[in-house]
Amino acid sequence: MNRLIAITVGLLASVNIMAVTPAEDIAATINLNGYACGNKASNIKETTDANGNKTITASCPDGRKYTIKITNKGRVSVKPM
Amino acid sequence: MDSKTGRKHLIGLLAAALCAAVVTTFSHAQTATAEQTGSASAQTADINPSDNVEAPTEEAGAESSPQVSPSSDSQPPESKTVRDQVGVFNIDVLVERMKQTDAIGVISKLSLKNKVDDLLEQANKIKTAEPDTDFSQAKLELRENFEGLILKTVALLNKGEDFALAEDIYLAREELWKSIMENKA
Repeated sequence: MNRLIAITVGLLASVNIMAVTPAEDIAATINLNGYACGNKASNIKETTDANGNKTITASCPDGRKYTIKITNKGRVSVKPM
Repeated sequence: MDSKTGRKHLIGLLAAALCAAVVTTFSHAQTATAEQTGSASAQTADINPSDNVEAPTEEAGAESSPQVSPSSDSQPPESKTVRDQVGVFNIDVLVERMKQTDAIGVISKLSLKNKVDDLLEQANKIKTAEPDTDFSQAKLELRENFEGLILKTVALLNKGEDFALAEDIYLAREELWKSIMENKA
């Protein structure tokens, strides 16, 4: 039975293995905007204001922190903290 | 005894259902890719008749090559590349594939779209300027920004293991550049 569960979990994991994680997505966004941020960001915190503007703070593997702002019109900006 | 048998049946059913779901997911993905490739090449035939001039020659060569069996090992990859080169020229299909790919996250896609919008705005400024204005430097910068964006996109796609789309975008970069320069303000 344990083997069956392990196989099932493995199959499910293999289906979702290609999806990008939020940590990778944020690191890629920081990289895209001209700052080096390796493969994965950490300490991700996300807030959304009343107007629908989103602010994400994250740390890169080198310890630098960044703020990613996404406006309600879909504009993305990255600034080092 | 009954409860044990029932549990075994239930586990068997669950496993079968999960396997079926996995198989369905993969077959859907394969079908979607096949459809996209098919529609891309079909629509491209209408859009870029001039680009197809080279393709039949290559494909004709590829068709005749299977008869020459010893050297045919190297022929099929070449003919596939040519087909891809013809297929990727439909920009709408490429855009749709970019939207649907799992290789790039949502925020990264949004950021890429911002950069494309910036490029289009930059291009529109050049196009709407007075004819006697010298924009050679601005055009050079625009081309550099465009090439940089293509490389970033290809790198992201390769990292996310969508190699087919990465290759298609790289091959279609001249068409994309043309579409940026032809896009009306």
